[in-house]
Amino acid sequence: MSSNKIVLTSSDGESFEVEEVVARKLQIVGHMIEDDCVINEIPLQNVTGDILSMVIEYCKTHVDEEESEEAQTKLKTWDKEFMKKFDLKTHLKIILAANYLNVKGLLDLVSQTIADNIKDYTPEKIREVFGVENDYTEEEEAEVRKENAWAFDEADTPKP
Amino acid sequence: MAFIFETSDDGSNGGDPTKNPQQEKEDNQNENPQHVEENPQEVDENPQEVEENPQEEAENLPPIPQEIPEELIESTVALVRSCHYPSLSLLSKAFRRVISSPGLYHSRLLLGLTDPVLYALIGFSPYNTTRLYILNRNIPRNISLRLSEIGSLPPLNHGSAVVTIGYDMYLQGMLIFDAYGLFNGFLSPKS
Repeated sequence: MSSNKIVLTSSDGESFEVEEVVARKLQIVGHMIEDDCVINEIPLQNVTGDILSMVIEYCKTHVDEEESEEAQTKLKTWDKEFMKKFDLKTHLKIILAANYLNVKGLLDLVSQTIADNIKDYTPEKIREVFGVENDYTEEEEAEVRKENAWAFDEADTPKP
Repeated sequence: MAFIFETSDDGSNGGDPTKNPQQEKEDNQNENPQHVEENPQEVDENPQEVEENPQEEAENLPPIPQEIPEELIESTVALVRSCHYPSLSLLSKAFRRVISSPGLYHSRLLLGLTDPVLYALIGFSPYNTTRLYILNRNIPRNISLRLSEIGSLPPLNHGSAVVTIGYDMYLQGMLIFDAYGLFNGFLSPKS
């Protein structure tokens, strides 16, 4: 295993020195290494230091993914606890960072965490998490509701 | 006459996994040149200089996009049970686009995620029109599990046939709705 060190620098200038094997978990870095265009320091322009440190923590933990069932269970427990540490806004930032840095395992983990909890969120909260705005006009929303009235109509509740 | 049929997300044909063309937003993310990047050697040699004006530096940084691209909405929504789709489709037009896109259906197929959907085509005599119902599992749902009429369809003639082919469902040759029962518009009848 290589003991080369690589410095990853966030958009706000925070630097993290990590083992090459950890840096390779960020596929954006892995591809640079394979393409021989890696210097010792890599600027990562679309991620801030606080989020990059979380991504690195994930990659360090997952660097030796053992096959054994016990190790996998341990990792899954760690993943769960890791996600619990963050609020929804941070989940959004991590999902964007994982997408940019191309860390598939982390992307899947955050997606699954949001999907598991989505039923507990209000529409406003979901919009906040996903960074989307309600861009329907009243008429457009009414049209969608009308086209799919069976899915929204509670009016025909059985009478007591 | 009652005619009941069931579909699940593990449809038979592959179809065309067309994705929404949402690449522009991502392209924009990478357009900003890195004016801020310092010469790495200088940073190593004079770390204090960098820390002297952190606020000023932060102001010069290109903004990090906070809007989630539709491909990420898709990969997340794909993991949610489809009974939540009607309410999720009201969040924004982007959600509606993702949920009504065949791409989501194919993503779910690849992940092996299936939610059975029960449809019933019910008519009471040869002279009455036939109507299509769906077993309503949608959430939020305050009523008990029941068949709900899909009212956006025209009345059907006795003996009407509904055929499911992968993501699409056809009624007498017209494309009408998707695998989750959400209205998808009419197509001209095919000969």
